[in-house]
Amino acid sequence: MNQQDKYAQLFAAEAREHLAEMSRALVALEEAPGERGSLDAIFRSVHTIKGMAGAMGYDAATRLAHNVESVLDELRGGRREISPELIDLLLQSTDVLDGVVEATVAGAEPPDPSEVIESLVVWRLADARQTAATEQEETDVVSPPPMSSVSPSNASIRNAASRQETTSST
Amino acid sequence: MSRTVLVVDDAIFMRTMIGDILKQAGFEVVGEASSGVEAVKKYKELKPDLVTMDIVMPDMGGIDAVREIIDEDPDARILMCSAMGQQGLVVEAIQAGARDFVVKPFQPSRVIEAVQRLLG
Repeated sequence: MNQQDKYAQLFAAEAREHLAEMSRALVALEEAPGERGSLDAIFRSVHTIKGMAGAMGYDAATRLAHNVESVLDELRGGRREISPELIDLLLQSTDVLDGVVEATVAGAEPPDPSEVIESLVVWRLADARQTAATEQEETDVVSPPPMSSVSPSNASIRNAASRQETTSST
Repeated sequence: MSRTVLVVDDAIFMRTMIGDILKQAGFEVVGEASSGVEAVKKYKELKPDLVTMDIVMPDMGGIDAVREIIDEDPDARILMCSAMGQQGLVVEAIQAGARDFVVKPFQPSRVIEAVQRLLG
């Protein structure tokens, strides 16, 4: 077996273990959203998958894992809170990552993870929109702003999302 | 005599890859550890010339492991293996006593250069 095949086999085995761990810990997190251990376990698993996929040059898996990791970073840093919708999005991301990993290790073209990546980026940017809206409300008390300076629209968030995705994949 | 290295990472994949890079460059991998706790224990046992240290690991991360190893041996040579976006953690590790860092996914030549520089 050459070295690259050896690494590919190690990647497949370890990535599968971590995907299973992510699913298990996400269910635990859904039942007990304050459970820090589950959150840390999901973060470590997706971080490991990102590192391994990056080393193998598996771009789709690296990009998706990176974006999941960024969302988890927000939660671990206490900047955002877990919601049932976010758990659903993370479970969906894990499923897509599983599909990407399986196709990649089988030597097939992996499914394009762009759609779920965009949802992850939109979730992260929604906080910026909320913060901007709150700041705007505070400003409103002093002097009402023109309509154009109100918080960004969903369209502008989606545009920013595609820019972020491009940046994070480099 | 070849210089000895302890490779610390929670992923077997990464330990294997880093180990292969080092062995091919003539270093002797005397041990591996998959957590910070294990890294500290193995460092005391093996007294390697160099440690490659992952940051995110279960049962004590890499930064706390650096602190404990440096407490035990202030001359320990530790190379951090970080991921993109972990600049803050790398700074913390260097403040804790790590000597240098490489960023994953790394080029084998970059790892060898860093290791050779640390071992003087």
